[in-house]
Amino acid sequence: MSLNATISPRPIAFSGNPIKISIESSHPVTYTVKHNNIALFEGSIEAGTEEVFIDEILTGIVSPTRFTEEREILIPIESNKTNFSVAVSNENNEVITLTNTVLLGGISKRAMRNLNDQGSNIFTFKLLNPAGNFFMTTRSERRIITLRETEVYPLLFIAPAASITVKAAEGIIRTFNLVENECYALNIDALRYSFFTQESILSNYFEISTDEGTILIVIEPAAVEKNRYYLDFLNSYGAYERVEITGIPELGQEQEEDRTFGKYDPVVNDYVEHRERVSTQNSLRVQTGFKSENELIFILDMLSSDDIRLIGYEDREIKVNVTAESLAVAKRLGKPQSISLLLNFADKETHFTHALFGDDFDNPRIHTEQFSKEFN
Amino acid sequence: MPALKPVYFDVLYNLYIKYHICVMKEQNNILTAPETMDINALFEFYRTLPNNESFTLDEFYSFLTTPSVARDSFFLTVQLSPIISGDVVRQQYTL
Repeated sequence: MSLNATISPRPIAFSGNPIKISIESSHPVTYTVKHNNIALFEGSIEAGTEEVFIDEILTGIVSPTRFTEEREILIPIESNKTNFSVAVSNENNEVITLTNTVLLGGISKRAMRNLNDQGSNIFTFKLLNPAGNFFMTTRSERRIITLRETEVYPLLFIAPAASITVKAAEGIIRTFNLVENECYALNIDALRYSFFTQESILSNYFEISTDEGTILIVIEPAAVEKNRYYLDFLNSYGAYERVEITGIPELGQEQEEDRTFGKYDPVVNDYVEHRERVSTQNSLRVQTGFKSENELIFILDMLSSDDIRLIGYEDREIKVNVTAESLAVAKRLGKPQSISLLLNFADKETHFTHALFGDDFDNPRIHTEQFSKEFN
Repeated sequence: MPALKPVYFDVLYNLYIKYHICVMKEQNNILTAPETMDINALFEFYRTLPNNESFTLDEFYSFLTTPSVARDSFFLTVQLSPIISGDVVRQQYTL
C-alpha cells in the first residue's frame, strides 16, 4: 500500500496542544479536515513522509460553556467537545478517513513533555482515568479539591466510567449513571441543595467515587466581606471557574490623547479649537484578599486566561484583562498572601451610560402631584 | 458574683472549639464550611428567633450557605461538634 496516515493523540485531543497527522504516500496527497461533513480546511502535500498540524484549524469548532442558574446536578456539555474527521487521498485514488475527537483547552508544554516521556498523555493519565482526579479544574491535581463557598461553580469532567457515586455523609450516597467519554458538569450547588431538601442535611464534603478511586470535594468557609467581586475565567482545560476578589477596588481611567482640530468660524473669520469625544479605558486595581498557596497557583492560571469576566461590579458582567502587579508570591513562605491585580476593562468607551435596570423600564410609573407613592 | 447564663457557656465552648479548629487549620488541615446533619431541628430553632417566623426552608438554605455576620452569630448559639475525617475537619453544628 502506498498511502498510510495516522492521527495523534487518539482518540481525543486538546485544541490547544499539537494535533498531528502523519502521512506517508508514494504519490502527492490531498487532505480535508471536516466537521459535521463540512470541509474546514483542505491542504495538499508532496509524495513522501510528511507531518501536518491541524490544532489551529480545530479551535473554531469547540466553544466553552457558561452556567448561570442551572439546577440540574449533572449537566450534559456539548460545545466543549466534538468529533471531526480527516479525509486523506492521493493521486493513486487511495483514500483513508481518520476520525478523532477534539476538546477545548490544553496543558502546559512542560506537562506534555513529561507525560510524553512516560509514554502517556493527559487523557489516559488524568481526564479519562477513573482512579484519579478527572475533573477539569486547575484548583488542584490532587485527590482533594477545595473551593470556597462563594466560589462554588459547576466542575467539568469527561465521564471516565459508566457511573459515579457521591457520598455526603455516612449512609447518604447517591449514584449517577453516565455515558462514558461524554462531557458533563457536576453542579456542586445543586448537589448540595438536593441533599438539603431530600436528606435534610447540609453537607460541604462530597466523596466522588468510581469503582477505581475516590476524589474529595470540600467547600471551605469564606470570610464575611463588604466588597466581594468574582472573576469567572476560562481555565487551561477549557472550563470556566470562579475566583473571588475581596479587596477594596480603586477605579482608574486612562484617556487617549486629545485629538483637537481647528474648525473655521466665518463670523470671526478664524479657526476655533474643537475636539472629538475622548476615548477612555477603565481599570480596577484590587487586592485578591488572602489566598493560600494552592489558590495562588490557581490565580496564576487565571492570569493566563484569554476570557475573564468581572461579576458583581455593575449589574452586568464586564470582560476584563487581568495582570498582576507583582508575582513575587514567595511560594516557600507557606502562609496566605494577597496579591494586587490590575483589571483592565476590555472596552474602550467614548460614551457613558448609567447601569440600566430592567425594573426601571418595565413598569411605567405616573409622576404627577395627583398620584401618590402608594398608587404607583 | 452573678451566675453565667447557660447560653454564655455555649458561646464560650464554641469559641474554645473554634480555637482548636484554628490550630488544626494552621497544621494545614482543611476546614469545611458549616454543616449540619439535622436541618429540620436547626430550622425549627432558627424560626423561633425574633423576626424569623416567616422564613422558608429555601431562604434558610441561602442563609446557611452565604457568609454573613448574622450566620456567624447564629452558629455561636448552637453546638459545634467537629468531625475529623483524614485531613479534613468537618464543622458540624447540632442543637
